[in-house]
Amino acid sequence: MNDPIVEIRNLGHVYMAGTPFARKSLDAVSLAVAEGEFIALIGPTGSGKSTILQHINGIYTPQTGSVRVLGRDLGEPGTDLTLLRREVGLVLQNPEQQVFERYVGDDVSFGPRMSGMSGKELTGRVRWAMDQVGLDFKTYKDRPTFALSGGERRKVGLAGVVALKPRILLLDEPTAGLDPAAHEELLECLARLRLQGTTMIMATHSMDDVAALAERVVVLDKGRAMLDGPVREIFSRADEIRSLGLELPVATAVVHELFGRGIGIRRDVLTLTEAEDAILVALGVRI
Amino acid sequence: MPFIDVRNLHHTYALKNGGTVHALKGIDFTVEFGEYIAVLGANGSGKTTLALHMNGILQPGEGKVTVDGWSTADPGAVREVRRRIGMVFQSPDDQLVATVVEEDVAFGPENLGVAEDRLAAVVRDALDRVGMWEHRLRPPDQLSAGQKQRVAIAGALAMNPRCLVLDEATSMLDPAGAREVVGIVEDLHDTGMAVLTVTHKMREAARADRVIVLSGGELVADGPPSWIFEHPDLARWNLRPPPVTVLATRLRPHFPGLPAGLADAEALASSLVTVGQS
Ligand SMILES: Nc1ncnc2c1ncn2[C@@H]1O[C@H](COP(=O)(O)OP(=O)(O)OP(=O)(O)O)[C@@H](O)[C@H]1O
Ligand SMILES: Nc1ncnc2c1ncn2[C@@H]1O[C@H](COP(=O)(O)OP(=O)(O)OP(=O)(O)O)[C@@H](O)[C@H]1O
Ligand SMILES: [Mg+2]
Ligand SMILES: [Mg+2]
Repeated sequence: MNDPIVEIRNLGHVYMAGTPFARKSLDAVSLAVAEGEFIALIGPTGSGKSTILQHINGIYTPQTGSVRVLGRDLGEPGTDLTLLRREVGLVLQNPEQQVFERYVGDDVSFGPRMSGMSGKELTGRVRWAMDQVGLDFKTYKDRPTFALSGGERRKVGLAGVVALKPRILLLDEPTAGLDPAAHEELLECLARLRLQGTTMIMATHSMDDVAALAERVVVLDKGRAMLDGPVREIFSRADEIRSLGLELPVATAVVHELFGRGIGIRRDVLTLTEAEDAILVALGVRI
Repeated sequence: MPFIDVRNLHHTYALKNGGTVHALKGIDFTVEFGEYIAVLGANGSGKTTLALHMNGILQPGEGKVTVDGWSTADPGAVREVRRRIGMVFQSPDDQLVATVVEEDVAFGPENLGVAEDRLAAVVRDALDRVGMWEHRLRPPDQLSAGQKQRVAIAGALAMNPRCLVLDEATSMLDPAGAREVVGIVEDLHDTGMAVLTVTHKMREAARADRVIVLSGGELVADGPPSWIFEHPDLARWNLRPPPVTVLATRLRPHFPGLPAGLADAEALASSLVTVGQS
């Protein structure tokens, strides 16, 4: 890979190091991401997904190993993190920690305002970002942020980061708590941003989201990167995936279930359409 | 009389800037002892608000909620209501307060005034029912998310409720943790407990016996999951059928014998094998 946009080498991290509560959360993780890639981080709870994302936008500095993002060494003292975070946006797993202004409009505009945008351009950007995540500008711009439902709050958190048009978008469980329509819209929004060249790294428990969006999957377990490969190849390793407490995308699961019942069927499917085709062929409806 | 009776329930939130949000607009429904109900609806449709009315955390602006005959608006009935309805929320981290699992589970019954000599047995029973007794001495923050959520359920069970109300209790869990929690909840339902579960996961909703749908603060549909998922207004409520149901619908023209209501991979595969061979 020439010139990765994110390059993590042998990254180790211990929470509360040097105290009796010390907890190893990353163990020699290496990961290189090319510009424009869409990578999914999957792994059981506590495997280190959020910790990795928080290293990539400089919330944590590497204790051991190194993190280079957009050519900057984040271990180097004096790295301008404010500048970095204009290009590397992180949507936190818990939107309570992300949304802090009193009104929705102010919250979404915070990032662009800090980078000097104002007036019509700013309003346009906020409207655009809210539109991207399915928040109606008129209804929500003056809504106090404490008065939001769970899903509304997640959308506000997303819009605030999307509003920065970052080059690298880090997403931590972005679809948790969204209703099915909002979920679908967000996947479409992310697909659009990818087409526009945004590099994305998404931590998620939804294997269907991984199948819908990611090109490459990194599987973490106990702070170690266990598997790293193209999405189709990773989900072909059904037994390993299941033994980690993960699951297959639903389309993949259906064909595996059929195979397990003695039906000769191709199993390298990811989408419902692919599953439909495979089933029609396997059951002799189509050749 | 039904176990839970919700009559013309309205809820209006007042905003500091003088505005209001009319979050529930005249909800009517009842829950019988032992039912298993999923509550669906768009973001902001009022599901959490409704859940918070079930055990009196919120009070009706208009209308009435009674639990086993006790009105949630009656200050003297708070205890009676709280001991009948156990609540489990999205994030177990926000619910677990003590430093040791068993203390956390003891917290609720202690507050309800359960006698010291009975407390140990109550805690043991609750932890046994969710399979967490062996973890009783561990700090909750060292448990997996699925285990934490089980402890949160044990905390609710320790009050010996007749009904569990879960608000997106699996949304932050990994696949194994989510399955684990659904399994525990269904085991409890099998022992006669009523379950009201708010979820955005359609395949989890498909497992309930009954689904109610909220839209814009109104209750717009109430029926079995398979009926809900074929409802012409489904998309207008921001809902979708579970993915397996979508696939089954696409396959049905080729396999007319495929039954309705297929919602998980195993069920679809075994039906396809039966239908495909005939
Ligand atoms: N602030 C913290 N203090 C102490 N330990 C922590 C902290 N945050 C995370 N940990 C621990 O570090 C490990 C990795 O946590 P991390 O949050 O990165 O996992 P994750 O893969 O994102 O999990 P989940 O799927 O539950 O979101 C876990 O063992 C966790 O308990
Ligand atoms: N504390 C509050 N003050 C004012 N308005 C609120 C408050 N909590 C919720 N609301 C508003 O009431 C409506 C219903 O919110 P509720 O939390 O019940 O929705 P929900 O169906 O649970 O949504 P979600 O799926 O996003 O969790 C929403 O419009 C929300 O913005
Ligand atoms: Mg995480
Ligand atoms: Mg809610």
